[in-house]
Amino acid sequence: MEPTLLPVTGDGGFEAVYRSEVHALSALAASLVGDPERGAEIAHEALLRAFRSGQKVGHMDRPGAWVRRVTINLAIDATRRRRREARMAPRLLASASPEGSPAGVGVDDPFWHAVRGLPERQRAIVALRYVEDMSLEDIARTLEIAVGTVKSALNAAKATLAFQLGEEEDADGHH
Amino acid sequence: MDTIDEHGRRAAAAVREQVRPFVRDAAELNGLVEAPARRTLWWTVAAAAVVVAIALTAFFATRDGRSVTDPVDSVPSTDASSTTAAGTPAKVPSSGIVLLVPTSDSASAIDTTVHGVAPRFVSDMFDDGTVVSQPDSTSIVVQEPGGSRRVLATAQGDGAESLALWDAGVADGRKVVLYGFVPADKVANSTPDGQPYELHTIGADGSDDALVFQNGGGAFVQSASLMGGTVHVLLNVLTEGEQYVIMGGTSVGPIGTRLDPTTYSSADGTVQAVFTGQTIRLQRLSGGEVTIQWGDDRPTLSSVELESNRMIVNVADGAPFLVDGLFDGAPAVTRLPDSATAARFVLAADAPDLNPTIDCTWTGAVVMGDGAMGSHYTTLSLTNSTDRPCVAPMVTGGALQTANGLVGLRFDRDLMTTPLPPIVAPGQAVDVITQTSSNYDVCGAIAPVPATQVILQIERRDPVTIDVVGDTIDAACGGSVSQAISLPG
Repeated sequence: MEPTLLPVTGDGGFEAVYRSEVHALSALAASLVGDPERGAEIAHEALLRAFRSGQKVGHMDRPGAWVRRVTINLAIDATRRRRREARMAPRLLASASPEGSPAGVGVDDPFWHAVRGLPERQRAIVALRYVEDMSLEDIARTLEIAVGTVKSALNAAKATLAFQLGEEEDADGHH
Repeated sequence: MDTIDEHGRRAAAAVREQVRPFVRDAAELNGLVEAPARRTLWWTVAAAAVVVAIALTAFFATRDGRSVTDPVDSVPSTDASSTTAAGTPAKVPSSGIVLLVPTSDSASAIDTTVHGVAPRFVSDMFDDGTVVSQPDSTSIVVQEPGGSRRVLATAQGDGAESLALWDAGVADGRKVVLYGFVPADKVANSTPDGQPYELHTIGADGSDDALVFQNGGGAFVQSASLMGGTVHVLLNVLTEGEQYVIMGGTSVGPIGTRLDPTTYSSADGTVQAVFTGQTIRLQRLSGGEVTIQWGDDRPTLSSVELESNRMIVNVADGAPFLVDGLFDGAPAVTRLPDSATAARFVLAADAPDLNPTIDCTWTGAVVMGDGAMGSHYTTLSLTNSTDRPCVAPMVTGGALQTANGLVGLRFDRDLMTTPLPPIVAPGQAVDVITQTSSNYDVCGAIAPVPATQVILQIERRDPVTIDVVGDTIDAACGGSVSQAISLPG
């Protein structure tokens, strides 16, 4: 019995998916968890899940959407876990904070701090919107939700962000 | 004033740049898979990465609530009530590691003081490992309790780990660089005074279990989503400057956790396992498998081309995945339990010689470099041509001599290997893969002349010179050349 793994090479193979997606997925996860290294780990995890899921993913029309949903789920789970740890051992959280990045840059940008305070769905939509530069339609297809839902959630998120950051909210949510 | 869109796009661009260093190794792997000759290595790396990923899954896993979407919810959950070998009620986790170890005469305590295990060659050596981490380095030492053998796992700056075996406090010359992980059922960190910490797990069935690091100076509790007794130490996520250290009661460093309270590797070569209603498939990457299917009243087992007497099998997500094994052609010997809820199976037909020699003769071949992404790879295939088990050879360095006398290639800092078994059986070959950067690329401008010799430093012996005959380096760079060698024993 052969393992149900994606083929390594060839169109749609793990290698191709890996190459095309690993950076984007790492950035997507990093923006959500606030840690570039952890983000990369999550991206690898998501890609390897795709690898292990083999034919199921290989036969999907949009394997990239699948792996993005896994990435988002893992990132949100990691955030939940981190918050739980913070309740149990605050000193651990402090000691485990990502280091090496200038304050206010990248994942530490106030924008992402504010994003990480949003409801989970809004968080995911904002990350896909800006990190992946996705249109509303692409976000909807990725998350398998209605375009209208995406638009309303994004507008709500932007209103919250504008309030928290003291910035102007853009007029529309279209890309 | 920025708009949200402007700020968001600018912040996103910074994040994209910020993550690049952390996927660098992935780019190197991409280069590896381009070469068919590297396929085996790729599979190995992928397998190791899968384990890392699974450990991360356990690390990240939460059991409360749903995510935005749940595309992986088709993965079957395997949680089920069951009983440990000792009769203690426990839960079978949805993920775990099964360690199959060779037969040994010594007894094993199946509790929290179980194995310190490094993959591929430690699981057979430590019945009750104490893991000690150097307080000033990214390293972990697995020490045989009451004995002298120990393993040192050290994180390298590029994400690799080096493992070195010691006996009686002296390095025996065996060093393996891994792209992988070091699992351990028991982890402890030494404090500056040398007193080891012991790691225990509590809360055997909850999502808020804890790791307890304890030494003579007190205990420190770190929360973790555990369900049992196995701990994965993910050295490969360490980088230089990071330390897995306990200091002043504060634990830092990435720790992946894994737990399976009902599966234990014991010293007599058996695995105590409880898998109610599951199919455990132990599969080789190269094909062949053994399937253990629990039916209504008793398990059945079938095997195909089972050649391993030691395997590490990941059963996460209900999809067992062979992590590693020692394949020496031994037939499977399986003793099936009568109980459907407490299985005990043996896959150790012939225990390996645990006292292999390092005084071996190796027949080698060198396949000159290919590669991508600015790196070139040279494979050194070394076959144990003696009639006794040998410790896997350690190539500590080497160079490539060009026709004009230049040493155009040095790879003493960039050795990779396919997973080396703990012991190389007679006739068994192992591959050592060297990597060089383009700065030392003999196929490029640095030394654009034919290479005539490969000079290897194997263990601590005098360098061995391998003549490259019958071809030029230009041809070798485009194809391959092989040259039989005999290395002095």
